[in-house]
Amino acid sequence: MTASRPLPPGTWVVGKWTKRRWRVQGVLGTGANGVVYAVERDDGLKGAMKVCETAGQVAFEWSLLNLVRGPRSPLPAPQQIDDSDRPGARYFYVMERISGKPLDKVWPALAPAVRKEIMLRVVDGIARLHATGHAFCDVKPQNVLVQAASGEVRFVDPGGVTPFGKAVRQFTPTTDGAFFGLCDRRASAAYDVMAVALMAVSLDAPTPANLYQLPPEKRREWLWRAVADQVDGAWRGVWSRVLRLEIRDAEALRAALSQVRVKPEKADARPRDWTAAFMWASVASAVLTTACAWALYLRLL
Amino acid sequence: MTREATIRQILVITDGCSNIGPDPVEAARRAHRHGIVVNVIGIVASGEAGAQGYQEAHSIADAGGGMCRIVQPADISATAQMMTHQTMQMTLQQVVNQELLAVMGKSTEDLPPADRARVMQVVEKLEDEVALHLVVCLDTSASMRDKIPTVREAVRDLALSLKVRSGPLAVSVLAFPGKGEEATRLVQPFSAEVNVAALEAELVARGGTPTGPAIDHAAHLLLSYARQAEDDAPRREFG
Repeated sequence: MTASRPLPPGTWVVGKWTKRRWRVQGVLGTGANGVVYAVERDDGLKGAMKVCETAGQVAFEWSLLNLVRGPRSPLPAPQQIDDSDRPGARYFYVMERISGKPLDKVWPALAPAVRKEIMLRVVDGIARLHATGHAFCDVKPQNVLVQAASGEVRFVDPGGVTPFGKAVRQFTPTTDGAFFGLCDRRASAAYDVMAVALMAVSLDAPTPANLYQLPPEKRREWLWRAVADQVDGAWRGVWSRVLRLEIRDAEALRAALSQVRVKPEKADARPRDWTAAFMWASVASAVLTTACAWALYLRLL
Repeated sequence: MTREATIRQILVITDGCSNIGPDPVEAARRAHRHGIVVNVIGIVASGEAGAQGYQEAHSIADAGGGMCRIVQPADISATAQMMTHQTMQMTLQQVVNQELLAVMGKSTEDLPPADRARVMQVVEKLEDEVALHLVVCLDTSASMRDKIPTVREAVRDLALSLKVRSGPLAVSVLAFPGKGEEATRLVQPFSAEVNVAALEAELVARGGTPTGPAIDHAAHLLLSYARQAEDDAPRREFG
């Protein structure tokens, strides 16, 4: 079960069942259980092809994507599932290719008001998924893609999607409430909401390397210190309430987030252009001087 | 499936090659012949490139019908959970495959891909409900000294994942080497919870790496626990 080399760009993958052909354009990412390629179908439809080692894993993720599909699903829409004879792409499925950059890459450059907007959209995506009776579970900045132009937020990697009440099967420690001993590792609305809060904290406070060797109590100590010292003051209240389990579903989090008062975008943050002001001041003083001169001349003063 | 409603796994967490006792690859093969799956997590220290020592880790997993991943210490916990889940899924899929072959003369791979998804939903349900007996073998050789706290927390963390399943769980923990002349030491007998106090007290880094004896010991524990469970009570019929 050793990882093989990825398929080179330009490779054609021919589906055994659908007889469709996909051309590999490059690697989009490598996950825990497979590789995702950018592909283009023979009719020009762009997609993302997930290749796993076993037919079971492919079929399983495919079934997850189909369980949560819908016109406004935050997850990629499923396109096709198939097999091929090509080594390195025996079992695969193709889904909608989602553009945009991962949240952790765009976050540092975002203005406070935009950050709030993005967070609300993340919560909105989570809420839409929860409406299908599933939790996303593997909430992390790398799985949240933000489109630069529209600010639209989508999720990638359906591998963690789990029906409410079942054991979480895919997670990331730094955004896992159970890792900090804050909740159990069972799929629920509260689990995802907690993961969103932990993700927000992780965007402001990098995780120290030694966190993994500490018992949960000590991890919590670090977390509370990070919230107090490193998280933007405007958000501190909301995230603290989530971590104290006072906010337990997406609706309540959305309500709390919309109350967050972010600093207005400062117009004087960039160096101000004085030319216009100077010009208007000159005009004003010229008008005033002329007016005074006329007034004196006409003996009005 | 009615009698074999239990999945038996060994998870070896090690940072190097075995150097004491019988060949671990042979030990893994013996265990696998008894229906036990052997998974291996190899730990690399950050910045370490030497993948050569990890060939053995891959060979053990191949012989034991399991998976092998080489990871940084920080990733042990998530990897252990992922491997346990995926190999349980693989085992159940083999069982379902046999059933399909017997009933329809087809394996899952012969079904159209869209129909496999329905089979996998069944597999997922079974995975949640099946009993899991797991022995975690922890390498406590001298070179593991710095990594032991991380490994201890990873084992605690793995138990958190496994105990929210619907099916019963029994976890046992072995350390290799043991104290004094012992090749292995039982840190915790089968239990539904991980005894963190025992892990803290018993995991002391010292000596060589008897991986083979550890796998043999773990397999013995699993098989005698299975016999004991069979004698104790009428088995719950599965499905």
